[in-house]
Amino acid sequence: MNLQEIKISDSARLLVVETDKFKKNILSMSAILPLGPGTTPLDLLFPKVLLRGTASCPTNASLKKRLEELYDARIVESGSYFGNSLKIGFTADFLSDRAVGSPVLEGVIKLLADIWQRPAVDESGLLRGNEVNLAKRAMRDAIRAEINNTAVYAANRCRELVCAGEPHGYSVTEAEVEEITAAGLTERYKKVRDSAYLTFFYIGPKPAGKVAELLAGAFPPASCCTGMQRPDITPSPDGVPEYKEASMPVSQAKLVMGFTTGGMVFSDSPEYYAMCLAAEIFGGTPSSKLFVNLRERLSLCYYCGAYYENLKGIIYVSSGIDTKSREAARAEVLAQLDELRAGHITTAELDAALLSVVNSYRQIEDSPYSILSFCFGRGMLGLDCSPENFIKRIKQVTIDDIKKAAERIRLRAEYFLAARGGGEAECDE
Amino acid sequence: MSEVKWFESPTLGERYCKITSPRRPAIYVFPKDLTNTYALVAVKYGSVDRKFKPDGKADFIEVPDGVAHFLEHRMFTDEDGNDIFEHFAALGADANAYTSYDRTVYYFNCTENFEEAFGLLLHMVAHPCFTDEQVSREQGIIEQEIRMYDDEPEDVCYQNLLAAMYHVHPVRVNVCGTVASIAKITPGLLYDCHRTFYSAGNMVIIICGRVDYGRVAEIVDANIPLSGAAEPLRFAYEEPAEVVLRRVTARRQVSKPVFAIGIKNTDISPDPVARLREHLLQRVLTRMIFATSGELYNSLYDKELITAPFAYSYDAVPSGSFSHVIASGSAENPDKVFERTAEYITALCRRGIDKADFERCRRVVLSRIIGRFDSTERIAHSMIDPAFRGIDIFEEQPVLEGLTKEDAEMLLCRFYKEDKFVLSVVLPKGDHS
Repeated sequence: MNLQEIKISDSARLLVVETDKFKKNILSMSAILPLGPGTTPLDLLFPKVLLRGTASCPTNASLKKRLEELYDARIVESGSYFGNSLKIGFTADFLSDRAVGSPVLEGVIKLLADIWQRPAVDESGLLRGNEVNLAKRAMRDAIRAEINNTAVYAANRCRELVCAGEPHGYSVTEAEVEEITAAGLTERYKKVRDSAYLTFFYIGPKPAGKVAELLAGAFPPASCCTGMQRPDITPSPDGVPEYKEASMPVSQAKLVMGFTTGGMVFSDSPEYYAMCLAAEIFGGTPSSKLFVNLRERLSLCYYCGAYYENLKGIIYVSSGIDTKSREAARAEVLAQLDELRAGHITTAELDAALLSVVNSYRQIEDSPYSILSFCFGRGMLGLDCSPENFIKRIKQVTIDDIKKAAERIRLRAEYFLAARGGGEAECDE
Repeated sequence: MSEVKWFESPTLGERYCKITSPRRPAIYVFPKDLTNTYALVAVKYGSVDRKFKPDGKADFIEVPDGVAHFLEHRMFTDEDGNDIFEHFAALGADANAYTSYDRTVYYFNCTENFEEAFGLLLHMVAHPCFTDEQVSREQGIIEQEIRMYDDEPEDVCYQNLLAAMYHVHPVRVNVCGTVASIAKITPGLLYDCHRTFYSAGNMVIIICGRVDYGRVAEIVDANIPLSGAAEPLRFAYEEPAEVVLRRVTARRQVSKPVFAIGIKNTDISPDPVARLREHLLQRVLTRMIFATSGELYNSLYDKELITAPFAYSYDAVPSGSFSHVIASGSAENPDKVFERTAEYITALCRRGIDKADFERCRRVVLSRIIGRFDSTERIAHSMIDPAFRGIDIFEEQPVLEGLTKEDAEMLLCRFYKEDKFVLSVVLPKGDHS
């Protein structure tokens, strides 16, 4: 897999994986911005408003119909945390020109440029007040709806504990959303549009030079851009463990434990690869220590797994358990971590984890979204983008390396959401 | 002696073969030049198969709810009591399974050791091992799974909707069963169900990727005993056309009400091709009615009745035992959304469909059919329904292209009858509106 980079202007670049393997192709557009109160609520909201209409397709219906005419092309906004930074932008997927015999890519680029540069505005040039209010309402609803999914709710509370005081520990509040005005949002949108450095990523059969030419024509240089903004991936430091608990009227409790990794974030160091494999053996697969012991041996949960947030150097362990099993579950998680630290790793465990990682990394080239997901972070951080290199490096990891990696893992926070009774009896009407 | 028949789609640039032989499951091999290979075994056995004649028995028996799903969980243990996930992991294969209303599907993908992993999958499906101790432990795990789903308001809303739509058809019951029903499951019952449903004539095998199709049949023969058993005899439920209730509510921990609107249909053609046609027409129709490009969504959004798109689907099993449309979301006033949706559809029936809308939405469905041929996983799973129906997956495109606006209008008026609309709502706790 060959990743090409082409400069489009002083304020934009294009990353390309040229491949004719897929009928469906991807074009994403991203900007890296600071993360935190003040700007982040605005930066997460304005892309949603931009997707509600452009000067040429002023209504949501007309814009969505235009996408349907482009053979079901989809453009979605893609705001997410990237370490201590915020990534905003749009991701488009669409059928290749060859699959349908029509210039779909050109149509998508034109529409994306309209969305970013020429949104529908009112007579004062502001993003339309009614659309801003409706988008605010949708965003407020989404914040409130976090309690609908207790696993996500508990994971976010644990993130706030582990990363307290860091940008990554920030969560947008309803009050912040309420304060947004059409004028304030328009001002912020224009500032980002005129200053942000854009990274485009295309995965498809069109030659890179041709895609760059189309993008250069559609996206003129931003007037106030001072160059590429690199994301901040400062790791979360170790610290005294924080404990917090709450309860909700649900049937199943959630236990989320956040562990720091001694500053081990995304890099090309041997220690990083060892940490990836340690997390996999700990709780990454159905043959991991957590799954085999908490679920299969002790029947404590339906799910229990570990997830390595490599842009912050944190390992999260999440499980759904009975409230009364809290102590047993946390004790077993810590016991399994001790096993890892002691290097009690069987050859079968190591081989299974390694094969699982190798299997999933080999498959990256089988899907445009996997390519985007794998290459985007590396491309943003200037790291090698070859899955083969990753596989080669991870195969060099030894049990002793994993033991050393596990020794860096420290409990930093524990969030427990107790269940105090589930649903009330249904009342049929 | 095997018969190999190839099917091709010049427009998609794809082809696959079907390998058949008496007393062996039908095998479908879809060559795809990607890094990974995906294989699955789909057994025609799901949660709705709760009343049937066991292999060799004269009378129907009724089993506790959740047996098919329980059986699927327990299949991942070998004769020595070892976890078969570990065997897959040792081969670098990522395996899993799921149970739905009408099927149990076991699958894996891998980038190496395909033949060993494929043999392991087949052997596992054909050679169960159930003990009292394992069944007891599994009851604890599945109880946690049931509790997890009971906390998911969308799932509760969906289950209640089906129970309000169907009087007797077992689709009204949760695939996992209940804590009480799974407590009745024993190793003997699991063996009976396995013997009845896991026969060669009641399953299909699908492989997609870089694979030697000649070797596939050999591996199947080495691991799955040949069986002359036909499809098991299932009890045919006489489901009334009427719905049970027009509105059903529950309370859970939600920020605002979650709703699901269901439209029930019991007028189902016995012909598999007619059912495919209806399936495709419904995909076009539901797109026209519920998508974010449509009049209904935009009018509800503009009036602040909803803030997020509908999730919508047409659900019908290949056996034709049930079919319905479901659209769901969240809203402060679900009754108003329900009322507006019913009004909109009734008006649409009266005024007819806009031709441009029909053509655009058909193009969307066509694009989705084309787009799924990029992934071994999507191809393999997409082939299950056609395989169960006994039709060629490449028939979808020409059938879709042959549909007309008038076909859609006829189906719209036949299917979307106002008295078949049901509303299920999950209200926030403490909100007694």
